[in-house]
Amino acid sequence: MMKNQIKSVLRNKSNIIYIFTFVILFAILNVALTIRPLVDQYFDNIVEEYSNTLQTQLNKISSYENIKIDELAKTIQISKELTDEQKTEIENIKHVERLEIQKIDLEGEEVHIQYLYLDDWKNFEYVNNRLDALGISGSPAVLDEQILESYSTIRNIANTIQYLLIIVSLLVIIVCCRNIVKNEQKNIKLLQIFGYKKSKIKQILFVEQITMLIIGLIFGIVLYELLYFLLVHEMLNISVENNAVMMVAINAIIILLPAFLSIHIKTLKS
Amino acid sequence: MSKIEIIDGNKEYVKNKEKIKILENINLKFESGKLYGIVGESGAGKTTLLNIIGTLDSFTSGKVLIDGQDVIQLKEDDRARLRMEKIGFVFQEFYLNPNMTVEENIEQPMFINEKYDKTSRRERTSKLIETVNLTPRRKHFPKELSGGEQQRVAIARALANEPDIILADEPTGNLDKENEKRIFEMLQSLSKGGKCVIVVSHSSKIEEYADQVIKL
Repeated sequence: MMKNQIKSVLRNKSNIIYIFTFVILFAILNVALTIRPLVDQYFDNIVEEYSNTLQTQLNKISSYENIKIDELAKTIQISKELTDEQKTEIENIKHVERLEIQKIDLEGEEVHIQYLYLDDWKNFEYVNNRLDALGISGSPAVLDEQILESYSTIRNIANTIQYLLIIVSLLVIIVCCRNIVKNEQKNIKLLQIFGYKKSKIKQILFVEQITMLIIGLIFGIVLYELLYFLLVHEMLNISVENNAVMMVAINAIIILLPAFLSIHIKTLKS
Repeated sequence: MSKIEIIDGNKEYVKNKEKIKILENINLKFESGKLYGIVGESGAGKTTLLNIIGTLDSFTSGKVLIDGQDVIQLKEDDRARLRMEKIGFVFQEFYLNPNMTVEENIEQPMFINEKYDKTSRRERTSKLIETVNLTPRRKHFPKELSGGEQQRVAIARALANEPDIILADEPTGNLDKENEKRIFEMLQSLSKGGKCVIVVSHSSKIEEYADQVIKL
């Protein structure tokens, strides 16, 4: 029985359009699930590259040989309190963009930490030598705030896009499934006339929906893999480690939920 | 052998807070081995009556007894079972599944009947296709058939579960004179074979074939 019903559904030309829509939606859905790991990986790569290059530069300075690479940045931290004259001299050093003073209250004692922002971390060695000449010792500050800020912003955007795409895909799939069942109204009536019980009809409709969604998922994954290979792997040269369990779970929910919801429409309540 | 009895059947609808009586004090008896023609003007309630006999609708008040059992009192699943076992339907618009072949359409009602396994279902399908002279067309889809051929498929499908009662709603409404004659002859032979055949028709031809004509 199921075999005949499924054959009938797949022969229906209007259902081919729905299956094609499912293919696109499942590809989009899986792209959405990859966005956040992709952003994470992209920034990990930037930080790693940045740290490696900085390490190469710092190796030239014997005093910084043992500094952990992930604590380095293009910012120099000076803990000593500076005079106004020193401040002016420092601001006039080539490659120094600005000098910022942060005041920290440590158990009632106010500590001044000066941050020197350079135009490029490559000039760290030059600026540090000039500071030494002025009798001021500096050390590399923690990771570049700009990178952290942009990372945070882009991660938030990626999160929003990810959730939006998942919700939109789910909603469109639900609407498609309900339309498929509505188009089957004549056949549903026929099955009722033949004496099929409602539970049996629901079972048939559920299997029909699941079949179409699984076909959409299979081709959608193929399309996604193709897009991933061409755009991410080849163009961006990033390999992303997806959370396979989460991806399987979300895809399964997006197959089961619309199929389940679609069989509870009005046509079966009469 | 089935016997249908309608006792004091009334059917009314409420439309715009106004009660519209469709059927009033209907008392009828239908027996096996006879062909009944139900005639009447449009809106007289012919199709409604047929749907009530077929347990697809029910009276506002009154009883429908099939083999002594009041079908209106049955639960929905029991009515579905009764339809599967005892009633075959034929419609003016044929209502064949356009995405199923002739044999798949005929096979469809048999899937829920426990008395058929795969082999006996196939055998019965072949036999029914042969009965309606459509063996060369068994793999064809409805759109590849003429109106008369489609109605023959619908009759074969109605006979799939060997029902005692055949309900036909304007079965010749979309057919030419030659096919109309063929379909009426087919329904008549079913009644002569022991089935209770009830036909709603606008065609005056029904009087030639029916054992009894009921005017609504």
